[in-house]
Amino acid sequence: MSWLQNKFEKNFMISTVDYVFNWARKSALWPMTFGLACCAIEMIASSTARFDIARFGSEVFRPSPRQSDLMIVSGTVTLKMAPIVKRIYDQMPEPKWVISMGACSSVGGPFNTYAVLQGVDRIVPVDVYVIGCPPRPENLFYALLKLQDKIDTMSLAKRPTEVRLDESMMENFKRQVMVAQTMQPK
Amino acid sequence: MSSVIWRIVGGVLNVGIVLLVAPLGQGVLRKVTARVQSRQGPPLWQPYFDLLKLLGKEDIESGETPRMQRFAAYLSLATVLAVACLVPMGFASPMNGAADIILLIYLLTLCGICTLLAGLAAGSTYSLVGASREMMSMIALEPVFAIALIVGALHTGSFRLDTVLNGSVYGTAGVPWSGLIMLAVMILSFQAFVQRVPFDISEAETELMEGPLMEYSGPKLALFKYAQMAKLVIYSALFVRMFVPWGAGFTFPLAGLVFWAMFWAKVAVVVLVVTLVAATHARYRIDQAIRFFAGMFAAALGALVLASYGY
Ligand code: SF4
Repeated sequence: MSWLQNKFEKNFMISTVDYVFNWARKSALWPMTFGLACCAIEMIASSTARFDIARFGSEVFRPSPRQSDLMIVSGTVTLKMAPIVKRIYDQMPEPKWVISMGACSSVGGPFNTYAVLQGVDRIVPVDVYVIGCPPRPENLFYALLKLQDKIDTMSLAKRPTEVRLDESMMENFKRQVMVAQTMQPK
Repeated sequence: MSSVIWRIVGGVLNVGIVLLVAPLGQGVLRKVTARVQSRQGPPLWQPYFDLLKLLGKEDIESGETPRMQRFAAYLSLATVLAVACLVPMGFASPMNGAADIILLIYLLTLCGICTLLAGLAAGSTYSLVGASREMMSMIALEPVFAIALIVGALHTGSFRLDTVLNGSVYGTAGVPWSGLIMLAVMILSFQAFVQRVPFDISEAETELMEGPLMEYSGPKLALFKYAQMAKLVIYSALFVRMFVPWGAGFTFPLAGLVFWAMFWAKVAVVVLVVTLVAATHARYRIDQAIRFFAGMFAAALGALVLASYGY
């Protein structure tokens, strides 16, 4: 739908089509299969019989970033892993969303060290943050429902991911990676 | 002239029915699988959402040869829908006079070739492994379905769709040995034809990351998924027509409707059986599967010999 984006003002046609597409989009959020630390265990638990993420239409954990819509960053984002997370995010097709699950990926959590990225929102735009260490599957579902509310306000006529990295963030990130690689914290 | 029009209307009707019903079949499959695993499961109409969402996504052409990728995606759904025009779905086959079972066999093989093309065009390591697996199982498996059709053709002495796709595998005096053997073979290898769990080796999600489909995103993935869903319905319909066609003697107005309903009920039963097998089995390794297919192929050849001697 990229050829449609930013081409129209809001009108009746667009809003009806919006409604249908948003309905489909929010009911079929396919998460990416990857976990970074302990929070990932809770993410896996959310797809088991007791919690069953399938009820929200997100049962299809995709192994390929090309096919997924939702990145659940679950766990500690180390500086070594951060470029890979960013790359996976870049490989996903628009529209895409990010849930930052747990204290670690939201703000660095207990690891205020030279090796850990202090919040994944420094490299990718995050839509919903989940607190907890680790958050229970119910918390993740709540975040999923919040995300669905957010998707409801989307429009085909606008670019889905408005939030972009500003350059200073990127510089900061690069400096941190450099710090981690040279092992000489400033 | 009017016969041509009816043919077109029938073809469009068949295609429409398949397109409408296929995601529902997938939905039933997912719901039943979930219930077997004591989960609640997604809603029945989840596959419709999935397809619509995929159609509205960005289309990244990241493979080695994007043009080939595009071609494979369109061709896969197109062949499946062309097969839909050939299969009688509750009423006579729309393209009856225009095609025969040889074309049917060709088209069914082409469905597999599309997956192959998709994997080769994408060119990532995983998709190449998936493509080679697909190729191996296709070589072992496609003849089995062809033999089932040819056994029917041998019994009736005709290649016409309406005569062969009408329980003709049993078409002998006395005990129809060849037909019964083919029935057993088809039941045992049916999961492989519709690419469901014990035999979804070529796109094993957990080990190969969807194999040939790995590099596909958005609309093209939707086309592949749609083709796969439609395959389940079409193969079930073919199975019903070939092995349990009873009730075809009804004439049109009211009894025809009863027959139509019966046909779709039988298709639903086949889909349910496929689901239950898929939900309760683990995937085979490729070598195990090839050995299994080889056994099936040998049995099918035996049936062919029997059929040529009139049993
Ligand atoms: S937030 Fe807690 S549970 Fe989650 S990854 Fe960090 S330390 Fe582990």
